[in-house]
Amino acid sequence: MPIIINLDVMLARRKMSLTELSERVGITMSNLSILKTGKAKAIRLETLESICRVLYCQPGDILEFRADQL
Amino acid sequence: MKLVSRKYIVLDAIVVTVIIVLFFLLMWTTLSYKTGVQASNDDWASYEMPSERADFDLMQDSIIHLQNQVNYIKRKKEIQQANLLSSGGQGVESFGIYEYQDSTQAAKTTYLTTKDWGFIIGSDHFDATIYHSKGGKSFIRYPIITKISKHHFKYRYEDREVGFKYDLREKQILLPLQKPYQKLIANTFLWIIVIISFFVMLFGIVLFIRFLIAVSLNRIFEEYNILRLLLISLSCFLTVLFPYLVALVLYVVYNKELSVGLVFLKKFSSTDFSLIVAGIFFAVLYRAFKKGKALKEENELTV
Repeated sequence: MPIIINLDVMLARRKMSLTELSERVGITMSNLSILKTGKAKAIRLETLESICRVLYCQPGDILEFRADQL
Repeated sequence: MKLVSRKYIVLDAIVVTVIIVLFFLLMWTTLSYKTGVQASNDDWASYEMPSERADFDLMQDSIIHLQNQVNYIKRKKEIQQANLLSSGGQGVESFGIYEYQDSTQAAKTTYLTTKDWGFIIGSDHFDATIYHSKGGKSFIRYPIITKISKHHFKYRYEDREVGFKYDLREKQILLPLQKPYQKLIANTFLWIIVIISFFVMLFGIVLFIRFLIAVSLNRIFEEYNILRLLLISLSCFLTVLFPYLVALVLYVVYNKELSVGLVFLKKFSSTDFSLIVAGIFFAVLYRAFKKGKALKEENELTV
């Protein structure tokens, strides 16, 4: 999928663990893991809002569009 | 197809194969041959002529009526001469391999029998083709209609020798299998048909039972379970289509014999119609479940 989730990059920048993010945002570790590994098919706006609020970032910092290279 | 789904479907096929093997073993030990009656001199009397007479009213003393009576007696005598009595064999609904004893010949002859082709039953009209035999040879009597004037027609009958015989009792066409290799091929063909049609039918039933079990175990949206619906649908369609395929193969092989004066009698039965409806229903169910699985996955992977 050409949409890349840069959650691990943002977590590293903020020096925050996945467990801490999970606790502060209020979503399960398994759901965060699905998001981090790029298996997610959709993301709710309220989840995105909570992540951006906790990580002090913009949605564009987490989501990135990269066209498929042939 | 994913490896897990393939594993489950192969397991279903193994279950069906085991059932078939067990069934045939049981059949083998109980009954495998349909035994017919033994030929005797009096048996010809049980052969009946088509009872339907001409559609129009005829005066009892009219020449045409008397002519019909004479023809009737003549044909009964001809059937007497070609006394065909079944003396055992094996077969499925409309196709089989049976031995017949002909009173004109001492030895028994093996025939490939089919009920898919025949004459229009009960027709004794002027314009119908009629089967009859004389001296061990089979003939079809064709009507040749010539227009004399605007409202007058002249009927003339012509006999043509045909390569098959006709069993009036069972109403089936008998195609002779003279050479040993022909018998071997026909027997192999018959058993392949029996096993395949049995497998297809049982596969559908077993898949349906296993689908219901999976539903009760809450494994509804597993890929192998959805695939079962498609295979059930295919087995329904194949069960209907298979006898027609067999008829087509027979027609291709015996084109020379079957294309002379015979009509294709196989009718689209109500069972066939029910199976087609069931096939469409399961195909629709397959599409619906596939869509359901996609929606479920999407829902599960939404964060």
